[in-house]
Amino acid sequence: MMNINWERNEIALKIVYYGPGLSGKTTNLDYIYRHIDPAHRGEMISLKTMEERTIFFDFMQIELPPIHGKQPTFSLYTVPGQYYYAASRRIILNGADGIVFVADSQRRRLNDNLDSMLDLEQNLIQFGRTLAEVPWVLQLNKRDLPDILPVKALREKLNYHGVPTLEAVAIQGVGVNETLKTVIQQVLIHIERRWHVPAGQ
Amino acid sequence: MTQETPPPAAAPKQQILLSEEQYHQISQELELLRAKLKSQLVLFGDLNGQLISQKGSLPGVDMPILAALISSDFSATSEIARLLGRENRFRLHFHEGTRRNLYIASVSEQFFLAVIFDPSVTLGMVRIFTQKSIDKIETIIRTSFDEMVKISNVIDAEFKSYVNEGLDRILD
Repeated sequence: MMNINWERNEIALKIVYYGPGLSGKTTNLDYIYRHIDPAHRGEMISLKTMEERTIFFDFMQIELPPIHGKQPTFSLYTVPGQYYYAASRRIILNGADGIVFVADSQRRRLNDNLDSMLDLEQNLIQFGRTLAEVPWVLQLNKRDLPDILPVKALREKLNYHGVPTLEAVAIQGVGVNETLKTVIQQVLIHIERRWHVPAGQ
Repeated sequence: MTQETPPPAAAPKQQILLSEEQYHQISQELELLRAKLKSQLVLFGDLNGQLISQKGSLPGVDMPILAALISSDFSATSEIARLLGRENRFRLHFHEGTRRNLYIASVSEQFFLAVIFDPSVTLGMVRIFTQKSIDKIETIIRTSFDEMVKISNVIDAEFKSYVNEGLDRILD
């Protein structure tokens, strides 16, 4: 949840990348880390198994230039996708201001995407929240692979809330930055509505 | 063999957003604690992973990463406590290192206070002084100030477009 560090004048927001195992969550963060201006990010940490699978989370923080004396910072997390890390996912998801659901576009992974979406909804409910009100976006990753489902079909199955959908090939960086910008926009729109920020002139 | 179902996670509490006055009072208390324990570093953050205040430093250590690891460590261990019994909670954690020790305690169920200290300082002293600080901090958190946080004073209508411009500059 949003926090304000009054000493450093930082507004801190938390974005969590969710989705089934091997859908590209870590790949998204890795791309952002390698391509962002280093002056605007900290180090990235990845808690992984020996097989390079996320076991707890990946984390990095990005900072924007100050706006009216306040510096927005965004903590980016990924969750482990494998089903037996359910408790870890719940821990990392707690307090998320925005969520990126990274779906694997391959036909054979549809059930994994659906299971993960259900898992996400159940975890949110435990925190008194739902996908209907949390700011989130749907990233359809791996659009370069053969035997993928059409975007329309994936939207129908996974995006019943009508949130922004973005296509991506995260391993090449395609759609990665756009996804991050879009989810941050969704978070800010939500904050404006929730805290009754007056509309601009 | 039957298996007991673990108790459900606790119902969510309303998030506390600290005002500037609360923040400064808490920061003062953290500095006092650091001085009493001659600690290298005292951190205050929320259990979602955000660093809120820091007194002292550890050269070469990325503080946001440290805060994220400490909060997730505390949260993960809290899950263990919950599995061990419905009303069970671990209120503090202590990690004994070869060069530095780490003491973490929860504050108002939403925050953590972490103290990194030299092995020459006794754990008992750390516990006593940290608990006194926590009691004061929890009082500060419970106190309502006349000037509550007005988000619209911090995030105005143009904030969104400035964030957009900032992201365009640093990402592309």
